[in-house]
Amino acid sequence: MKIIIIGSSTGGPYILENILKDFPILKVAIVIVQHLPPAFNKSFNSHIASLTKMGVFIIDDHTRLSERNVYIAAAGYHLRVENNRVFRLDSGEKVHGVRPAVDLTLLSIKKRSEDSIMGIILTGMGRDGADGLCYLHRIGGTTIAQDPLTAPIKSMPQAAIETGEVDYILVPELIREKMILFGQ
Amino acid sequence: MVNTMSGKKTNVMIVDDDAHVRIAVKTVLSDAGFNITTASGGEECIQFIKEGFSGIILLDVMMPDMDGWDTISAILDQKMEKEVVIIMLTAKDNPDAKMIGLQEYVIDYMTKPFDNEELIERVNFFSRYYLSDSDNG
Amino acid sequence: MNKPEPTKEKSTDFSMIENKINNENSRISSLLWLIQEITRSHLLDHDPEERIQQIISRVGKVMNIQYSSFIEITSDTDKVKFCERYLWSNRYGYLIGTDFENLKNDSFYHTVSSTLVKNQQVIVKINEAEGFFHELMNDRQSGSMVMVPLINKGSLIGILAFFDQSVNRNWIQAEITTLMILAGIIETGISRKKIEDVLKSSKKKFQSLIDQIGDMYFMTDKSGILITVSSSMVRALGYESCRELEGTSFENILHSHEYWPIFLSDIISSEGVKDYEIQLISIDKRILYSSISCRLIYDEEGLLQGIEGVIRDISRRKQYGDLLSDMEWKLEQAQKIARMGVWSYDTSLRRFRASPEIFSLLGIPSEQNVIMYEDFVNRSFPQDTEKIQEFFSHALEKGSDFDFEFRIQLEDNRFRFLRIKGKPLMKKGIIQGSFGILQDITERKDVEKHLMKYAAELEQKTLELDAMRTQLLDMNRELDIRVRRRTLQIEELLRQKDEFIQIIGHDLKTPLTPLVAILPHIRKKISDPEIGELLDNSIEDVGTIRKLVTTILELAKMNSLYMVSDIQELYVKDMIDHIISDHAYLIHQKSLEISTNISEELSLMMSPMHFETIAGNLIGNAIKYSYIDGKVIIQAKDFKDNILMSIQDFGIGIEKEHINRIFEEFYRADNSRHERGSHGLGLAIVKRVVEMYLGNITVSSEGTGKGTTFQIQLKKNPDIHMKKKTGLNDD
Repeated sequence: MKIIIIGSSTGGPYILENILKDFPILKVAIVIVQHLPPAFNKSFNSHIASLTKMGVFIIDDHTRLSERNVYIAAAGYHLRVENNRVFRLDSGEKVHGVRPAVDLTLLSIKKRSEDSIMGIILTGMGRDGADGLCYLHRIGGTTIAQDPLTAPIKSMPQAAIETGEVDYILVPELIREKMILFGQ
Repeated sequence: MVNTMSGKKTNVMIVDDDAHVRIAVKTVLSDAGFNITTASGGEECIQFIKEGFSGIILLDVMMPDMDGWDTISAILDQKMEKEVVIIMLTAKDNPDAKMIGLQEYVIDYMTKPFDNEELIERVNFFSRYYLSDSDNG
Repeated sequence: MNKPEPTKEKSTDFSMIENKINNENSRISSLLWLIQEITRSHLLDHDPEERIQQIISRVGKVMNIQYSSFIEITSDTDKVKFCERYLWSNRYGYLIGTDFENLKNDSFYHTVSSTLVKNQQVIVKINEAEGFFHELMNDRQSGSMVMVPLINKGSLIGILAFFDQSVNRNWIQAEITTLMILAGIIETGISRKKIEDVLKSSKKKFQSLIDQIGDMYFMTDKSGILITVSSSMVRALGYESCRELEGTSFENILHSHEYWPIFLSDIISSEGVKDYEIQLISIDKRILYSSISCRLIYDEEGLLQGIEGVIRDISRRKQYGDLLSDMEWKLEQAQKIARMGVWSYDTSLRRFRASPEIFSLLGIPSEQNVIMYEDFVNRSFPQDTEKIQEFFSHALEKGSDFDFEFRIQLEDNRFRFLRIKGKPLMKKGIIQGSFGILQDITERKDVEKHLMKYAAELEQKTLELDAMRTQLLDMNRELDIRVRRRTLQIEELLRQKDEFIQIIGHDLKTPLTPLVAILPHIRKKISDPEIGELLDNSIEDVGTIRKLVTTILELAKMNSLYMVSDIQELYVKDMIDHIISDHAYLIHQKSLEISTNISEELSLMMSPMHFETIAGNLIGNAIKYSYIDGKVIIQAKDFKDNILMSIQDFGIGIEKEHINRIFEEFYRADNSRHERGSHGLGLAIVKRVVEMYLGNITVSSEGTGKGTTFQIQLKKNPDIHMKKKTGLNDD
């Protein structure tokens, strides 16, 4: 299975607009972990849904992953993946001051020979995603960080780049290209 | 120039301790068709929200007494975070440590000075997707 | 013979007696003839067995006896064996004799044999016989028998026995004597045969013994022709069989034939030689170093019969001998070099034996050629004399181990340090003396003295060093503290600076914001072209201020030493060409091909120093890490508001594990290369500068040996970047 996991915080929605605008249906499961207040979960969902013809869902506990869908992390819960196939939610402690923390999501990914994983960290405050990306890279996943110069907040992509485990540092347009290539 | 889906005018509040900045924003955005409220600081902002403001907040960070983060904390205390989409508009390009725990309430971030077109575009964008019809008016 | 006529009565007796005498006489003479025959013939020597048979039969006939036999007696500790080897019957001829296993317990036999063994005959009548003999006589219907002994070395080895029918047979003494003689002859024959057999077998044994030993045995006749050679000799000389050598002259196997007469005369004059070294030659012309021991052999008449001897192959011994003398020589040389000599002392003879070196060590004049104990004493340094007298003599007497040093006095008051070591000399468990070495240790003593001095100096220096080290440590510690303090100060200052920048930044940007926002707004509403133009100017001015503020704040934030003061329009091609020419020497040295693909018009806004930092570093690296005859490709082109530049080399490349860290400060991918000036900061600085200009730098490499490509993206006009920060394209 092909899985793309995107982590973003402040500035994310605006950047994702560029990335996912008219996004084709691809044989990938895209997971978006956006730091948002629960009140805006639905709006975010609608926003993303308006951009692509792929199925867009807010994740529930035990939701199964399948390709050709975009999954939105449920606000206020940490998101983990079981065996790269089933979503699990939990309301544990905030990590780096956020919940969901994309670090936890990435760290729950398993190395499976039949799976290809891509991890992307976009704009945001703090350093959520840096450790997760580092881990993902080490188990053979592809890792991308948004070019900090194009990010409203440089913090998160910068922290990811500093781990040294980032394969590509790209502007949003190129991130989009990479994702499409990955899904083909 | 798009307002909300329903065609109603979007409410935007500018929170900044500098009067000229407030005037500048007000001028640019009302011209663009938005409903602007000006607040000179965190307290005023909270006050307006309590009185029923709902919409986009352009929030300065570096303000005396209550800075941007304090304001967000206060909004949370009031449990009024549902009502507002917060865009930080500030001279600081690096958020400081106070952001921890509060960053998810800031949906976007712009530095001063801003380009008029850019500001208008952002506000449009967020009002289209993130303000529900019921939040307006 | 004339026989007197006997009277009737007496004549009967007389004639009877006469007949008897005549008969006896004829018998005796026949026997005597027989004896003569036997002794003349040598057949007994060669084949006694047959002869004995014949004798028995002839005697039997002559004596007109029923049975005659030859009996072999073999006795050992527990039995006496009776073996009738030959039995002759007058009537029937040769018969098979009777054997009896063990006569030991036969008392009659003992009686008989005790007489026989005294070399006396025994006559037995049937009625006197007992035991075995009685039986025997009975079987043979013999009335009487006579036995004569065969004695060898005092023991009874055989019996000649004659069995007569009549019990009254009168055995004449003369007959018996004859029989005794016969027995003696037979015994001699038997003995001689036995001796010859023994001789033959011992000769055989001797031969095989010689063969076993490997010593070569030979026998020649008196002219030196080989009669017998042992098989080992045959082999050693490389021949196939004895026959090849036997019959040839000894001369043929000598290496130098001329030597033969000398050799021969040597042997003859000394009645034989012992350990005489000669060289033999084998069939394939190999020289055999040999040692001969031989003797002359004479026949019974005392005439020279030939030479008999053994030859020993001493080639190995010769080898060892050579080796030994070689080693001896080497030892002598070694002693000379080591200034060492060996000595031995015989306690009983009170005498020293010493190698030549000893003499020179002791300073003994060349005329003297014996060493005495007194030489040691008299030549010693006065202060050491007592020591020698005490130790040395004591040790020599007692034969104990010793090891001491002493000085020998030389002319003009010089002295020499010697060391003498000794051990007891034991022979068969008894102390016979001592032996040991004498060594010149003057040099060593000198060296020791110097070493002691240096050791003292070293000790001194070490103490001084220690003191210095302690001082240094203290200084270091102090420095550490100072550095730490200073670092903290600097960090505090930097923090303060940053805070200051923040505040300044904010304070500058605040009034700037309305200006930037309002002026264009107002401008839109102005229709009056004049005012419009004025406002345009103001907008432009405000733009300038905005640029400046941003730049200044950015730079002020950078904690580096780079001060930007000369941003100007740079033509990329010119800049690159200039940098390439800076590296001309190395390019030429490595025969590198540098290809540039840059438009002449391509330009950007940048400080020349910074451009050089970026491009200079990267191009320099590309050249440095290229292989000989390598290539470097530099390209630059326009891309929207950016310059995209790439510098590619085909050199050592970067491994995957290093590539992500290549821009880190102090990171060096190849830590084994300690190049002067390569501090690992190059790329980190490049990256900083690139980022300072809000640009982007990436690196890619296929791996080791596969080259490296750096790609730099720089804004042509850094301030325009402001609009593009969000990554949205301009429509």
